[in-house]
Amino acid sequence: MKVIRFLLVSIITIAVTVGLNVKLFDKIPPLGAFLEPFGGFWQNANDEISSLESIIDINSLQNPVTIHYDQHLIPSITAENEPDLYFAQGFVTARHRLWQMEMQTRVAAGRLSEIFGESLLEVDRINRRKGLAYGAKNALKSAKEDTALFQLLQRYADGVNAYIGSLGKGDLPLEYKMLDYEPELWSPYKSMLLLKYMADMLSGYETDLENTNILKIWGKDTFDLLFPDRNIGDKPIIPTNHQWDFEPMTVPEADDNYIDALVSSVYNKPDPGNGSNNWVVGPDKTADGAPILANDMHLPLNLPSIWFLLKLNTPQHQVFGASIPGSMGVIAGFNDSIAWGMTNAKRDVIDWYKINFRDKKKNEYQYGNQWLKTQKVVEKFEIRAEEPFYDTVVYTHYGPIVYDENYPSSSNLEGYAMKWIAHEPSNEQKTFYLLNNGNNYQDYQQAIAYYQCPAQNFVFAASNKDIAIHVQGKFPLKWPQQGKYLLNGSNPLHEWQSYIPFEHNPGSLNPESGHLSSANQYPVDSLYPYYIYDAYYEDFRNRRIHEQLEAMQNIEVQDMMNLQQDVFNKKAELSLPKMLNRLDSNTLAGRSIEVYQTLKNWDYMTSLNKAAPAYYEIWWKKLYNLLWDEFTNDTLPLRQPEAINTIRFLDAENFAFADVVGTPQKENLDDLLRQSFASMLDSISTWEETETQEISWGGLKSTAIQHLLKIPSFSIQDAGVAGYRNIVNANSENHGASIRIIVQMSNPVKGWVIYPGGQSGTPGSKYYDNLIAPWAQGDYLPVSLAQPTTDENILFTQTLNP
Amino acid sequence: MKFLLKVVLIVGLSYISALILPWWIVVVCAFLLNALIGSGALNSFLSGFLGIGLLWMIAAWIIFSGSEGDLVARLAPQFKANEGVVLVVYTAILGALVGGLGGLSGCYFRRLFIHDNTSAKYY
Repeated sequence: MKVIRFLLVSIITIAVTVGLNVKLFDKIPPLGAFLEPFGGFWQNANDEISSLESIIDINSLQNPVTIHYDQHLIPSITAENEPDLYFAQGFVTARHRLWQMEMQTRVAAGRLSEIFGESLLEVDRINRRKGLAYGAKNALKSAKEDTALFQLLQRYADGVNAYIGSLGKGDLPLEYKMLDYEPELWSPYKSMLLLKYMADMLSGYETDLENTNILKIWGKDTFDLLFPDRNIGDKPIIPTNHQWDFEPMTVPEADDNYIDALVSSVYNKPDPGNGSNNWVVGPDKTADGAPILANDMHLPLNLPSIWFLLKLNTPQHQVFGASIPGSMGVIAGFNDSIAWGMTNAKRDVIDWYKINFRDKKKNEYQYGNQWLKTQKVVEKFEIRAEEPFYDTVVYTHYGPIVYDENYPSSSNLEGYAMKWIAHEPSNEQKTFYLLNNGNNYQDYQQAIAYYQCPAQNFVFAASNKDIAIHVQGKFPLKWPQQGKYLLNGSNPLHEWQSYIPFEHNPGSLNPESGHLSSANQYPVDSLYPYYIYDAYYEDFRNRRIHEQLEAMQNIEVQDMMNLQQDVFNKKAELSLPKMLNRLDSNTLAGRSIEVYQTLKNWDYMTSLNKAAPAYYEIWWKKLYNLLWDEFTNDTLPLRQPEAINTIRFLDAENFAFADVVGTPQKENLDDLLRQSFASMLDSISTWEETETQEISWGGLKSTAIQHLLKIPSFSIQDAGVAGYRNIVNANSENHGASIRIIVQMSNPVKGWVIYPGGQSGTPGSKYYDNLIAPWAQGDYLPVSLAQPTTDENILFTQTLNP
Repeated sequence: MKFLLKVVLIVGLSYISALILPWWIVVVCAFLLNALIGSGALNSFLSGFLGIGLLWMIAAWIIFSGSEGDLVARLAPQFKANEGVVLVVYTAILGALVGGLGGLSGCYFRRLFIHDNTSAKYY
């Protein structure tokens, strides 16, 4: 009896305890471990500062390292030598951002289902098939050949691992506790995975297969009409009439026998709006004669932010700027001699090759008159609480066959191989290392020569008053139209024959105009000797920035801040007059007259308190979708023409695509404008009824900044920030200016920076989202290279001792 | 007195071991002290229930009331709660439950070998 009683109670006790120690349900952490005050989430609620230790012993350091945190938790790391410096960068970054940095590399490695279960298997499959890890391994090989740099990368990893090793009970970042797993050790390979994560985000968008379908359905004339390679009115990055002082390479023989195919499905691609603005004004344009450089980078807005601010000091060099957790050094910033920043340099660096296999075994494929061997890689996907999933990816000399009968759907019976610059050996980390330590224009040129992918427009300013911009990346030397559509993998003439030499990439130093800018637009005028193509070059921000810089004189830092905050809607300026002109205003009555008048009087400023931007955006979207209804199809991947090419046709007569396919009558553009205007009015009434307030841009548009796990209480649902897509202040629904930097090359160099987030990665920390409000209001943090002189500017000091 | 002493011992031993050992060590502490110090079943259950419940409640409360940030409030919606203080209550209840079960198991374990003359009279 006693025994049974004991057994019964102890079995219940053990069952309850074990049940509370494991993750029983999706989205619910192991409750005992999670709620316990000595190790669970309570430990993450402790204050950031009180949980920092002032002295930490680390055997592998050569000399002591000092870390001063300022009042925004921005660390200034001072070391005697570079190995110690980058060790400390790894250590400090991991202290605040470990979970995020590891999660981003898991995305690239296609290893999310290990943590999240089967729901993310499709995302993992895309990233494995795209070969992000394959690219990272190739990058690691070239990094290893550069032994001096690799040693520093290894020290960065050692620093991250020293932090992971120092984690005591309760110190694990919150998200690990919620999701019930532990961090893996860091390595230079993971830093390479992070670079590929960025390469995918910034160079992963292309529409070659959609183009192929459009070409097949509508033919070349229509394609060229609706999707021209370049658009009139854009301001190229390199000022026009630039003298190209090199002998161009001979372009390979063209062979435009395109594959005649309809491609049945494609994977989800990154946001083509991942772009940026940057510009620099020279000494003749500024009030005090010092160049000013400005950069804001447009990326998905998330918490923790993709950026982490820091200052790195050795006796030889000091550099301040934005780093990406997981990547060594500063990515964009300044030292006492130079400042640099980047925008995405769009270019089609992914091409697709249709592969002709010898037989169903797929061991060999045709190339010219020979048969080449394939390589098969079996990808194993560990899935939480499930059996592993296996996927065989066939590799050709072009790259991985992403699309075949196993992916994305079984209807796709052909094999399409992907050729992507991001797969090739490269050493982008070297660029940033050299820029951090650069002193002048020559150093900058030498640094960016290592840079391959994702291609960037590197803007530059120096304290000797040089200003420059370079479009830098590794670009294949293509014959005109090569790779715009699906290519024939059996035809050697369709293969990339060589690359444009780095010295032939477009660049400009100290132009007459006194200013340089880039906003992801077409980089050069028609005199540039090589073929350039991308599916999505920017058409509006670049014009606005160029106009503004052209007009400005005696520029102060505040003017550059104002330009970063500029909400002039260039797209509306170009399209709305055409739209209003064709609308028959005599037929309007009541509310519609009011709306019509408001639009007519609008100054194109997309401010939060105005109604006109809301009317315009709704009207535009309705019109756009009515006009290009032919180009949305559930069963066939297509793309709709860009906004700038939509505007081109707004005053056309008898435009064939105006007809709405799904209706029996034949519409013209006047009909579409009338219909879309009426439908816009309906949407507004519905919105106003639901929201019980009058519509305004600030009411309609919200810019959310979501935690990476999309937990609502860890996220900001609306940052209340002005602007929109295609506007210089580019904040749309969940995307926008992920950081804003301004640097004045005065003596000493001064900087201003802000980003929508905070230095701490811990939700609920005082420093988790404290920079969002100033960011939304257009405020900046003043920053400099000077060491803090008073304790007032120092929140906390930490010493790492050997 | 014996009951109070036992509760104090459970709190003390659990606190020290919980600083480094996994969370479930508190169950072991409640079990051990009730296996060593004999008393009635209800008394044993309550000693663990109060000991661990109080320990967790106080520890959670200290962090909750002293934190500059608002993590606890942000986590509350994940537990269908409106306010952070509810998580202090949840934490206390959970600790009390496993503590009580540990204590009761300890008592019944002791009874396998030792028959205590005293019944549950020490409150």
